[in-house]
Amino acid sequence: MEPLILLAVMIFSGLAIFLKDLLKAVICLMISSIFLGIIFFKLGAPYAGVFEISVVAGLVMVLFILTISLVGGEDFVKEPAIPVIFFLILLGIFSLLAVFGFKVSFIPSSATGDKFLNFGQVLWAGRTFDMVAQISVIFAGVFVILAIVSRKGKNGK
Amino acid sequence: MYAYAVFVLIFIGFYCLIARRNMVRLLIGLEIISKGICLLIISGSYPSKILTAQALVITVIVIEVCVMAIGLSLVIRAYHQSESIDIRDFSKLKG
Repeated sequence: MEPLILLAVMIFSGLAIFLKDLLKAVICLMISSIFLGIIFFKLGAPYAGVFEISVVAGLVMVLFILTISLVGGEDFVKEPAIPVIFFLILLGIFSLLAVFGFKVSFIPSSATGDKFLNFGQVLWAGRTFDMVAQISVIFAGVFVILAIVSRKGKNGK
Repeated sequence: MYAYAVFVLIFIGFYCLIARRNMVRLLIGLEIISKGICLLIISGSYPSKILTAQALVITVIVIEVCVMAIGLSLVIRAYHQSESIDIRDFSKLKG
């Protein structure tokens, strides 16, 4: 079952960059995120799966659709005429690299939380610095968006 | 199997970043790369260190959401400034 879901993730991600209509591309990206969340569930990572489906397939896609509705749905940017065969050749080279020269290894032991029994302990006790960094990033993002979207000029108007 | 999917996802994202000029599509490419990284973290730590991997993936997702929000607000701002979301139109910025 997992290979089919992985295949769906790859196909929908590929469609997201090859479809002309931006809205359809974003919908393909959302479907890809949902399949990735299902894989996380199957690998025993339910919290990551919930985040992937609710935040990435939900919130981020809402932001994408909002942006597309503001800037125009049709892809009016003239893209360079790179033939699809070039993409397929590069993909073949990458596939050979993946099959013969790449092996996923475990996370280094210094970054693990083996001494903790459940996810809450890992998140709040073992990865406290990550939580502080996340809060900082969220605040930084809010302030940057306010600064960018604000229409005030140099004289404050 | 998972390593191959990670490679393909990261390749698709990089290809999008290199070959596309629409700023929304560039952000889609970043999103796909982020998906590959998340899958790498989860599949690389399965099954013994999955708790830590989940914490790391949640951190990655939070940072990714902030990056996307800032990037999309930049796209909207750029569209209001120059009526275009072609990345080539911003290659000669003042400064």
